[in-house]
Amino acid sequence: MNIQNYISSGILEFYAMDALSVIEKQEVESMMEKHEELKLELLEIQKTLESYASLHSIPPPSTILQLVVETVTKDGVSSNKQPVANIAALRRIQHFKYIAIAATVLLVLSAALNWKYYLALEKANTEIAFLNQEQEKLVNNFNSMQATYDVASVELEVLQNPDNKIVKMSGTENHPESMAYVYWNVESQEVYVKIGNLPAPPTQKQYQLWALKDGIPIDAGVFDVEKGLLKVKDIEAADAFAVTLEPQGGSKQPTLEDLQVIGEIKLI
Amino acid sequence: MNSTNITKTLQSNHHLENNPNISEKQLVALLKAHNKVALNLLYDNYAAALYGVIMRITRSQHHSENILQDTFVKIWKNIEGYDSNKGRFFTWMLNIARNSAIDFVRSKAFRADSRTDSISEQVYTPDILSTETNIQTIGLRKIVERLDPTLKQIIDLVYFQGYTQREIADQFDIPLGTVKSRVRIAIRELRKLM
Repeated sequence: MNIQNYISSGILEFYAMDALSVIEKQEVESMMEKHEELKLELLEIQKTLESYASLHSIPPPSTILQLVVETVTKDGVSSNKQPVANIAALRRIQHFKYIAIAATVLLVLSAALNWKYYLALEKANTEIAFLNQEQEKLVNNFNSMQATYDVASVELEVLQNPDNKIVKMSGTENHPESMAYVYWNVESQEVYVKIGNLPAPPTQKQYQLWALKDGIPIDAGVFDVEKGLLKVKDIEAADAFAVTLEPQGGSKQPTLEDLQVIGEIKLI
Repeated sequence: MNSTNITKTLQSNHHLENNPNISEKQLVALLKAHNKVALNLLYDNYAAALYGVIMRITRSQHHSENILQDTFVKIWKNIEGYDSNKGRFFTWMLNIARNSAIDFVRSKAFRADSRTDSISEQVYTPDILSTETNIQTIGLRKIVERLDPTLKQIIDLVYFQGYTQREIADQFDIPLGTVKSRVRIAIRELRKLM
């Protein structure tokens, strides 16, 4: 490149005013190393600009020098400053590292405890469900025992009552295995049936009790096959009791073909 | 401005070249040795010029004082970065002062603080303000009167407002190559006048 053209281009002026990119600056500097005349030209340009800048001079307040001296004394020399900052930064990083490690350890501990408590909670929930079931069973058992006791105590009361007559009704020829009892209180006229052995009736059919007085059947009410004493209708007078199988709700006259059990009242 | 200041200002063109006690080279050596005496010498010889340039850029006394202080601290701390093969020491210091001031003026903090026009508005504002308000010395006035206003404006945009070649080209609607040659002509004219 022609050096005179390079000078004329004006690039040295921009270099002197620090108005070039880093790459452009490096180019100018490498050119100056090779060509002494470029350096001389640059010095002239710089002198001119320095003079131009100096034309703007204004004396500053003298306090600024004192502030500068204080600042550089406080900071120490330049070479010391960077390492101090780096050590401080390093300390901060290490500090952060310890915090991070501690945080991680706490997180792992927390997760382990969470898992442990989760398992314990699951176990407790299962136990509670199991205990609830057990309690329900016990309550059911108790209720059924209570029911049985209630039935038994009523039955016992009836049996112990001296006014009650016990009539055993035995199976007929058709149903020799069947058997039932009637407890009849002569005073209060209350009647109870106690099933000894009666098969479950066919659908749409129901057992009906009859009182027989002088050969005439009197309706004593229908009953289902249940445990304990079954209260039926009151009866004033009777010589015997019988049970027939009748349509649901009972009949007005007994269906004698379906006579199940019968028993006469015996004077004890 | 009184006559003493004017005389001082005119003398400041010469700086250490005419200082019988110490040379620029010796001052740099003292600074590199971290000798605080150098700060006093530096201040006596260059503070007014640096402060004037900073004032010219920021137009704020308060901010200029802070930037001048900052500039001296930077000179002290970065003295190892000065290489006499790459130019003159005074130019190196002026560039630190100029860059600090221009960076500050372009910062959001300064713009919000001083309610100055944005850079883009400044592009279209004629440089009348600077020629009228910043003629601080008789020397400057003489120079300005004899320098072509357009040439002066180009130098000031680069030197005091940190414009790039591209921004100047856009401002004057001229090619990049012409920007450089105009700046060269402007500085050649300045050299003749001084």
